[in-house]
Amino acid sequence: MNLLESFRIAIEGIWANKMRSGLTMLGIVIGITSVIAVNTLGQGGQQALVNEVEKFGATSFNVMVDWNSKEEFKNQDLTVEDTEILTKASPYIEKMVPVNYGSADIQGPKKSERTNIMATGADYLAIQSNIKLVKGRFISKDDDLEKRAVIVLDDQAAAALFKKQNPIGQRVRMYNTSVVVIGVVKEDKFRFDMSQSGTAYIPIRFDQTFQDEPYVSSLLGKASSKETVELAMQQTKNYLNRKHNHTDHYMVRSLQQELSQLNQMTDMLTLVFSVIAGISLFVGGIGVMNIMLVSVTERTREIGIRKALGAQRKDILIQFLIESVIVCLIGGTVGVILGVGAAAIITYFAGLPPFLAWDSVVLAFGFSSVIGIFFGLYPANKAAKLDPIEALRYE
Amino acid sequence: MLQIEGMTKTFVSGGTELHILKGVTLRVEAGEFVAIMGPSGSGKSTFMNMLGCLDRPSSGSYQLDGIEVTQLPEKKLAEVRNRKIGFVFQAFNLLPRSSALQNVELPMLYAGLGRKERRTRALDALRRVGLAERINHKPPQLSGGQKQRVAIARALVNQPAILLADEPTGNLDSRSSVEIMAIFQELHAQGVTIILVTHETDIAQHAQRIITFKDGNILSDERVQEPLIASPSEEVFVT
Ligand SMILES: Nc1ncnc2c1ncn2[C@@H]1O[C@H](COP(=O)(O)OP(=O)(O)O)[C@@H](O)[C@H]1O
Ligand SMILES: [Mg+2]
Repeated sequence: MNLLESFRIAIEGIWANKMRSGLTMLGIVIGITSVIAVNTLGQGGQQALVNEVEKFGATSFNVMVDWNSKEEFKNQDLTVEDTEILTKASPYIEKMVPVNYGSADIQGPKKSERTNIMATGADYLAIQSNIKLVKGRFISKDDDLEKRAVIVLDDQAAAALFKKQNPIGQRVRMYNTSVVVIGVVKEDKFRFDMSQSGTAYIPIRFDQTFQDEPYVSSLLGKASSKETVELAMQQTKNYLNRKHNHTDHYMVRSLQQELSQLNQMTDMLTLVFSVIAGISLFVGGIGVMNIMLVSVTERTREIGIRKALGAQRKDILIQFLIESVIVCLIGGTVGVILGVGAAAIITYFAGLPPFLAWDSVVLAFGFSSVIGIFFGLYPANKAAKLDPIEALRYE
Repeated sequence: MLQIEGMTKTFVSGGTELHILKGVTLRVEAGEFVAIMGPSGSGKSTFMNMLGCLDRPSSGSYQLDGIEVTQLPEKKLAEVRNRKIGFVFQAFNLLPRSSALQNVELPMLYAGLGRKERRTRALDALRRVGLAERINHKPPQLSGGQKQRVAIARALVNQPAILLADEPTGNLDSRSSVEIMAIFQELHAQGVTIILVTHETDIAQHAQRIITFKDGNILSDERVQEPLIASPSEEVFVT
């Protein structure tokens, strides 16, 4: 008997027991839905993170004093000069700026506002590719060298201090000093950044005039290429330890590194959920086997008739096997649709970019067929082995 | 054509051996119309199942069309059932969800015939039993006599060497029974070999030869001098 006829017979069998076939499919549907949703979300989340990192500069890295260091902490463990020397000396470092991060009240014309203060150098904007100048200009080399009292606001701080007014050229007060607003920037925030307050940028050498001992909290570097990030980080570390009489006092991290750690975490989560989803799929498969066994028992007489008319074992085997594979494939298809849909809804509300895990879709179909064959084989074989006379006598 | 020698069948049931067939020897020539009679439990159905290759005898030989079938492997036996034997059951044994046409096509499906040929031959067989008008009816929509005619069409459609019928009229009223017997007689006239089990004497009288079973043995084997001619009151379209 040809395969097409077997398909027709199998579909007739499924159709004749719509309710039962539907319930059997449900187990597969739930299993496949969860596998697809979990994998799509997991992979989609990772893709989103990769995109973010690309946007924020896959070549940038950050240098800090390692707070776990057992060595003596000094205020000059990081200096402005370090950035200048490193930029000149290392072929792998394209740009580097010092950063001192803090916060202060800024007094605007209308009101005073608590603002994050980022004291840094002129190249900051070139390294932080997610920050764009929208008005005026950013801190220049001369601003920094001459310790000018200038300030650049981000759009949030500008809006808070000046409402709709143009802030360029206006004066604000901070650290009990009058400073001139020279520019406004807009930050494309990291997707998962929830901070509410605005940020202001001032020349780091100006910032240091307010400190007894000049202090730098971190260095921000940009490697010449993705491939040289590691080298640039290593050189920076070696240089700093040597320069400041330490052995292992610094912590250098890149977004790439953070990403791979995050990826490990999401991989782990995806795995755990996949295992759970896989178990539900397995339970679904057992459901298929159970129903197929019931079906074989119920249709014992039909099997007897077919055998009496000359059906071979393999004809009966294939008929029931195809039936269970079709049930699983239909369940799998519905599961894929629901899973992709669920993932799409979740990604939409989580604000992640839409993503389709094609490999898991293909895998789901393969998986459904394998489950159909695996859990269908025992009942189908049982049907095929039935003795025609006993099957015919079955009531 | 059909040669049985010393056929026995023993069932083991609840630890005791039941000797149902006790060495049956029988020869049936091509084109014969044989009726088997005998009391209930005398082993008629058991014997028919052996003839139909649905079951294997415990001992003895059975040659069908020159082939010793008792030793055939399962796969070959299915082939013999498919090609050489047409079986008509008392309980009809039609697939309830398939149409008359699909039921008749079934043996040809397992014979590997193509769609077109299956259809033509099934239609032809249904016409021979007078059911050309009912091809798309499903068994629950057919009367007992009509169901049995579908079953006969199904048994005939692969042009078997022998037509076996185990109490084909057992579930039918007398009018339908006569109709069925008319079909058998017509098929016999066309040269089909028929073995039919019945416990009704007047049904058996339609055959040429009556074999009587008793306790798993053949008690008698007689020619029918003047077989009854089945003449149904309603016209049956056997062509
Ligand atoms: N598979 C079986 N196991 C045990 N006993 C059986 C089996 N098949 C038939 N029998 C017994 O064999 C006897 C003859 O049955 P059967 O051939 O159907 O008789 P008949 O058709 O002449 O009425 C009955 O007593 C029946 O119970
Ligand atoms: Mg009987």
